[in-house]
Amino acid sequence: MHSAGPPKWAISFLTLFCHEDYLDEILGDLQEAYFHRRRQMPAWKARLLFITEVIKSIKLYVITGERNSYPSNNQTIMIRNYFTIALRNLRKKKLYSGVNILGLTVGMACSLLILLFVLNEFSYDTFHDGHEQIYRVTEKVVDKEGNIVENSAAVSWSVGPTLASEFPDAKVTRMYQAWQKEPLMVLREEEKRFYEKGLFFVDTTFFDLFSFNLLTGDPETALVNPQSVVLSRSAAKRYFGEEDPYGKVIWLENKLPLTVTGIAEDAPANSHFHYDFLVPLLNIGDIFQATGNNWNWEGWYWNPVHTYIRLPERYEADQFRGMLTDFGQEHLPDQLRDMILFNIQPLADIHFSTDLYQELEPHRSRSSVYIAGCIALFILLIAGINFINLSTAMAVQRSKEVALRKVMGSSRKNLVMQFFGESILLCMISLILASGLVALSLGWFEGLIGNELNVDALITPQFILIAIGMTILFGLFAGFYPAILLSGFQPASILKSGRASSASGGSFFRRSLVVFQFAISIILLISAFVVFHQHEYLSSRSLGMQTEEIVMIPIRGTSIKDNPEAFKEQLATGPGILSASAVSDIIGEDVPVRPFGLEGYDEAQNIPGIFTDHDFVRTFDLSVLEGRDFNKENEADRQSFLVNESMLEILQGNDWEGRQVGWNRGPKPIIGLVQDFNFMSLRNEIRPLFIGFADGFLAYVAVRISSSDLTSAMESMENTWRQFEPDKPFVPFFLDSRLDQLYQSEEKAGTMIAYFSMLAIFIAFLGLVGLVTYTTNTRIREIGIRKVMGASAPSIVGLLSRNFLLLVVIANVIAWPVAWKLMNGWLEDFTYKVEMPWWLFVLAGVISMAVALLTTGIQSYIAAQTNPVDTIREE
Amino acid sequence: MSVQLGNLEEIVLLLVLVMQEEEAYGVSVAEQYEKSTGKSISIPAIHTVLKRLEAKKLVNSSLGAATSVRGGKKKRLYSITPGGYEVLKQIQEQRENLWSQAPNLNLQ
Repeated sequence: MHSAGPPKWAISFLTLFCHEDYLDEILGDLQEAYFHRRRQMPAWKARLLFITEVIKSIKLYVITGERNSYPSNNQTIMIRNYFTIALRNLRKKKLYSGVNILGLTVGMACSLLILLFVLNEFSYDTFHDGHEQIYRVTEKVVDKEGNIVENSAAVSWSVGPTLASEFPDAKVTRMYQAWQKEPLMVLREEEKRFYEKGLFFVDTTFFDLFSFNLLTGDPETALVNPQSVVLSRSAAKRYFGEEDPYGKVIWLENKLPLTVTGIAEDAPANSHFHYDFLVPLLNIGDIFQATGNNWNWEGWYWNPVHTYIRLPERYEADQFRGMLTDFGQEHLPDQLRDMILFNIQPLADIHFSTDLYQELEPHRSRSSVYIAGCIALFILLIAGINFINLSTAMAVQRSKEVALRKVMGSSRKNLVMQFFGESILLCMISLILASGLVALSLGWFEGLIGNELNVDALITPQFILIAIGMTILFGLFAGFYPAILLSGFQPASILKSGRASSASGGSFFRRSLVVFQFAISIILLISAFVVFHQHEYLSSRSLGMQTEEIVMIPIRGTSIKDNPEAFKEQLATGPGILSASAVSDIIGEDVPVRPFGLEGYDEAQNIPGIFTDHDFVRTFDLSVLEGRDFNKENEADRQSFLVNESMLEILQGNDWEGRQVGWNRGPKPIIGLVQDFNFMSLRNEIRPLFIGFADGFLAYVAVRISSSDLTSAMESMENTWRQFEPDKPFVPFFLDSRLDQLYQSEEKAGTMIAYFSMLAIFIAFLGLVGLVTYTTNTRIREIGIRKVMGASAPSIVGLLSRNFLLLVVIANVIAWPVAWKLMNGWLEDFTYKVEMPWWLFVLAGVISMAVALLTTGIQSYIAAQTNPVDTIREE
Repeated sequence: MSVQLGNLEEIVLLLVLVMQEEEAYGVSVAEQYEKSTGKSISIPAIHTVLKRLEAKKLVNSSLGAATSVRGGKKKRLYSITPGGYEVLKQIQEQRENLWSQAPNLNLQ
C-alpha cells in the first residue's frame, strides 16, 4: 500500500455518513486506534481493522445524530419486522441467498473495478489548474498529394518561441527529451550514476502551464538559472537519500553541473508524462554538447520538441486552429509551407491519442475504455437478471407468508415496499461484500490493466454516494418484478391449497430474460475469443526480420559512436556473438521520415530512412531480393542505398536499378532491393524505406547473439563496453521485449475483457442454476405423477432440459450476428488483423450448451430421482 | 433496582469509574478493557455501550482535546454520574451479600 495512514476512502465514507455531532469522537478514536495498532501489526491488518470498524460504526443513531433515541412507533416496528423476516429468509434458504449474494457481489465488484478504471482513464491530466485551456501543439507532415507522411506529437524547436511572440497573452512551454538517448546523471560525491529516462529540458514557463507541486523551491524562480535542475521526490531520494538536496550539484553526462533548485512532487499516475528531472531549456548548445547531439535545431523540420500552450479564455479551440493555419503559412520556410500542418489537442485528450509519432508514454484507445464500460453494464445486467430469476424462484416458497400478511391487513403497497426493501437490503449487503472484494483484488486488477489507479483520489464522497445511489436503483430495478409478482398472490387460494397457483404467468418474461442473459454471455465469450486470437496473431506474426536474440546497446554520447567498427571488431572476438550492426533507430518500433531527393520528383520526399552499416542485412536476417547487399570491401558502397519492396511504388516501376537518391550532397545509387519487413510498429502498414550510411545518426549497436551462450555473450559484451567506456553504465536491452511493450496496452485491454467475460458467464451460470431449480420445483408433482405412470428417469431429464436448451439455442442465434458485428468494428483499428474463424462461434455455442446441459441435467436428474410418494401424497 | 445492566455494560461502567482520574474515551476504555479482561473488543462496540450508558444517565460526557494522532479530531470524555456510581455499588453489595451466604467449599 502506498501510504502509511488509514485508507482515505474509508475516512470519506465515514465522514459522509456520520452526523457531525458524532464525527469527531468516532473518527478520532478510530484513527488513534489505527496508529496504536500500526506499531503492533502489519499495515494491511491495521487497515483492514480500520475498515471493519468504520463499517461497524455506521448505526442509525450515528447517521441521524440523535443522542437519545429508541424506536417506538408502529412504522419502525413494522420495518424492524420486515428486516427480521428478510434476514431470517436469507438464513433459512442458504443455497438461494448464497447463490444470489455471490452473483450480485461478483457482479458489483467487477462493475466497481471497471468503474474505477474508466474514471481513472478519464481523469488523465485533469489535475492541472484550468486544464481545459491547455493544448498540445501537434503537426502533420504531408506530401504533395496530401497523404500524411508523419503525424507527430512533437514539433520543431522554433514553434514554441514563435507562438509565444505571436500570441503574447498565451503561455507556451516546450519539453525536450535528449534525442534517442537516456542522459547519464552523476552525483560525484556519492559516486551515484544512473541513466535517466525521465529527464526533460523545459522552458522556464513550465510551471505556468502544469500545476505540479513544488515541495521545496519557488516555481517562479526554480527554472530561471540555466544550470539548475528540479528533481522529483523519488529522484531526490534515489540520489540523496534522506539528505536535503537543495543547492547540491548533480552532473548531466558528467559534463554539465546543475544545481538543485527545487523538489517537485512526483507526477501522479494519471499524468501523460512522468518526470524525474526538469532542466531549463535555456542553453541548448550546452545541452546538445553534453548529450552528444549536434544538429541544426533552429529550423522548422526536425521535430523532437513537445510544445504546450495555455490559451487565454477568450479563444475557442477551433478558432485557434484557424489561426494556427495562418501562423504556419506566415512563418514556415518556403519548402515546408505546404508540407507541415499544425494542430492542437486538448490536454485531457492526449491520453487517448494512440496514432501519433513521438508520444511520451503508451496510451490507451478510447474504444477499449468504452468496451470496458459496456462490459461493466453487461455484467450488472446479468447479475440483475439473476436476482430477478432467483427471487421469483423463492416466491413460491414465500406465498404463505404473503397470504398471511394480506389476511392480517397488509396492503399491496406495504408488501411491495417490503419486497423492494428486501432487494435493496440484499444489494447493500452485496455492495459491502463487493467493496471488500474490490479492496482485495485491486492489486491484481492494477496488474491486469498495467497501470496504477489513483484510488485515493478516485474514491471521493461523490463516488461513494453514486455507488450507493446506483445500488439502490439497481435494487429497485431488480426487485420490481418479484415485488409485483409476490404482492399479487391471492391469499384465499394459497391458504386453501398451501401453495401458489401455477406460476405460469410471466413465464414468457422469465424465458426472455434467460435468453437475453445467455445472449450477452455468448457475445462476451466470443469477444474474449476474438481478442485473444487477435493478440496471439499479432505477437506471433513474423515481422520479416530477426527480433529475437538481438541485444540493443545505446551508444549516443559515448566514444563508441565515433568508431563503432572498432567496438564491433572487439565484440566479435567474444563467445556467442554472431553479428553486430550500428543502427540509427530501434528497428521495429519507430523510424522517422527524412527528406530524400528522388529522380522524377522536384522536391524532397519525406520517407523513412534507417542509417546503419554493411552488417545490417546480416544482423537482422533480411533477404536481398534483387541487386546486392552492402559490401565491406567496397568503400564506394558507403555512398549507396538499399531500398525495400514498397519503395517500388514510389519509384514508379520495377526499375530500381541505377536510380539515384539525393541525400547529403549529391546523388547516390540504389544497389539492392530487400524484402519488406515491419520496421515500424504493427499499427502501421509497411512503408517505403531507405537504408544507407550516415554516421552522425547512429544511436545503437544491435548485436545478434546465440541463445545457447546467452550468459557468456552478455558478459563479453559488458567487458568490451568496459574497455571503451569504463565510466558509463552498460544498459543493453533485448529488442523483442522492447517491441512487445508496443502492444502491451492492447494486450492488457484484451486480457481484461477476457477475464471479465469469464466472470459474466459464471454469474449467468449461477442464474441458470436458480431458474432450473425453480422450474423443477414447480413441476415436482407433475414429475411424481409421470413417474407413477411409468416414465423413466432419462425421459424426465429430457423433458425438463429440452426447454432450456431451446432457450440457449435462441440466445446463440441472437448473439452470433451481434458479436460478429461488434468484433468486426473492434478489429477495424488494426492494420494487421485475423479473420474471425467460424469455429470460434461454434465453440462459444458449444460451451454455452454444455453449461446449460450440465445445470439442467443435474437438477432435473435430482428431481427425477425423488420418490413420487413424497411429492404427490398431499392433496 | 430500576436500571438493568448487561454484562459488558457493567464492565465498561466499572472501567469508566476506574479511569476517573485519567481520560476515559473510546480508545482508552477499549485498551483498558483488553488489558483487564485479556479479550479484544472493537472500538465501535465500546462506543455503543458508552452511548447506552449515557442514555441511561449512568455516565456524563464532554468534548475534550484534539491530538494529531487522531487526525485533529476531538475526544469525547466520559465520567461516571452519582447514579452510575450508585448502581455499581448496588451490584457490588448484591454480589457480596450472595458471596457471604456461599458455603466454604474446598473445590480446588
